[in-house]
Amino acid sequence: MLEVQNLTRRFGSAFALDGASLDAGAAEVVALLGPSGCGKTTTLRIVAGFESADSGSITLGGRDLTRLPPHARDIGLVFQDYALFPHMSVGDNIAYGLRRRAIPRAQREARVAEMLDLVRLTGLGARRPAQLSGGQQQRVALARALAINPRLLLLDEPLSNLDAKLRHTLQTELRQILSRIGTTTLIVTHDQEEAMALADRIAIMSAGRVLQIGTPREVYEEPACRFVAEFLGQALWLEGRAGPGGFTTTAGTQLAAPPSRRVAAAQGLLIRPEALRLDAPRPGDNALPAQVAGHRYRGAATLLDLMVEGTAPVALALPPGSPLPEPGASLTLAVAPAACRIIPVEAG
Amino acid sequence: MKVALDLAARTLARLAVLAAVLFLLVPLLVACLLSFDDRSFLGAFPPQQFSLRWYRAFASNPTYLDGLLISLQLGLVAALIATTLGTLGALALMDPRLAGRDALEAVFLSPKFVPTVVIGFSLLVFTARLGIFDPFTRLVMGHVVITLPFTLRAVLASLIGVKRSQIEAAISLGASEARALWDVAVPAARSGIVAGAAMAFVLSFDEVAVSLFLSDAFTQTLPIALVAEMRANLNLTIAAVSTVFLAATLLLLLLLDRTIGIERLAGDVGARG
Repeated sequence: MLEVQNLTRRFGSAFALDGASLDAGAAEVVALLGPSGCGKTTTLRIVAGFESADSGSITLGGRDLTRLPPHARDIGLVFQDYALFPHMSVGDNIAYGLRRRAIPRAQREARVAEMLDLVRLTGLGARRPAQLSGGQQQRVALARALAINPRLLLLDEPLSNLDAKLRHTLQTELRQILSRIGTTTLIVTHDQEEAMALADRIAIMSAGRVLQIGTPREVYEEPACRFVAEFLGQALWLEGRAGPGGFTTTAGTQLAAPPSRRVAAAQGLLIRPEALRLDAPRPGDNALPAQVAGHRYRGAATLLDLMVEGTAPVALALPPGSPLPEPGASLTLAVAPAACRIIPVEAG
Repeated sequence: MKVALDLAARTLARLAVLAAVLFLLVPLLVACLLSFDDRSFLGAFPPQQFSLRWYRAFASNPTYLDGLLISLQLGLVAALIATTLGTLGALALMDPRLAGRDALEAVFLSPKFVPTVVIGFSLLVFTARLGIFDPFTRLVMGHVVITLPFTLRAVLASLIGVKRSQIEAAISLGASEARALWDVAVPAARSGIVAGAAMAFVLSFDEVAVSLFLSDAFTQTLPIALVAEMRANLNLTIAAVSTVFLAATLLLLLLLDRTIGIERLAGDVGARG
């Protein structure tokens, strides 16, 4: 449906985009995830038509968008600050795109009512945006973008302006709306939880390139490189060398691990902290010496900060009531070989 | 000791404020009172008898009446043009992609800092070179130049709340750039447009220096007619005209205060941020 190929964009001498490519299928929700400055917003603005790429192409449903002006692209856009028109009622905001398309009044009103129902703001069409809460404004922005029945929906950090609790509720709701309308959607976000919760596939960006695109499970469990591994969730990253049947860390620890699925010159070992166990090793388990850096009480769990071979501490969540080793204590962690993954340092 | 000093300082400050207020208001009041003087000559203050004779003299003096008509026409035409240009200019300056925005804004606002005498003289030479000799056209050009910074500034100030994302939202929904500005920015700028237009009219109405250069004996604005008349024969018609002038300006300001607020007006016009 959407194909973005080899976008480059230079601001002065710095590359904002350095050959970024991604795609999204019909009705698919793709999240563009990355740290600030990675080029995800530039990508979104180029797809929307507000910036131009130095090279590369964008096609939507087989049609080349690259030279099309933004108002002719049929793309619904939800801005981070919602960008509602303050002097118009909620209904007029939602109807704006329909007016520009010269949709007759009766149809327009029916569509506005339908959109208000969709975002659960039934009956609030006469209000001004300023009279709504942040979450409601966000939904108006979504309804306004969807009213024109766009071929592609773009969401720019859709939930970042909301407080944590509301964000969670709206995440669920947004996911339901997106799956109901079945519009191909591109979400730009720096929040990995948001990306995981909303997207069918996640494209991880860094330094103007898409490093990996895959389902949340794929990118979390089979990251293409160290950056992706460490950007998503917590990661214990050990340097060393891959050998037959396993991995030898620079400190000399031998760990059994399945062979790498990717060929790369330099490789490291990734272990997600939730795979680390404090109990006695079972037969076949890897044993990993570690030191306790400290612990942090978090109510539902206590986080045990562990240092392995001089790495930055990783936090292991312990259920309430677990015995807590003293800070400074040495211990041996057990980890199943299947949870040890040999990953390329650089994306191929 | 310190308390006494504080008290002295405070008293002094209050006296200064009082003096300033008196200095601003007393001349106006004197002129106002004199305009009702019944004597046919400039006599000792205060007048002993009051009448409307100078107002009758004003109403029957064709120089003043023509001047008033010219001033009103000029004010309306200049305000209309300056407001239109100022609004378009402000909308253009709003676009973050516009290169050299600060420099352009400075150019737009520069007539505010150039002495009006210089503007008047330059325009006289310039219009002569262009072959424009019609005094009304010349006056309109001059008044547009001096009022444009005020209309631009007023509209710019009212556009501060408009975010680029709102314009882009309208565009993504199918509006052309111009349409998006019309639908999103112009409604927000309405108060600035009204304030700028009113300010332009008031400024044009009591402008002297530029008009002095650009008018001729047959096309005089009211202030120019006043100056000419004062030189020719000094009498209290001038006081009557001044009072009418003052009343008209106050009325307009009052009207503006009711509609958009005087702070906004003063802020838009006074501030060069």
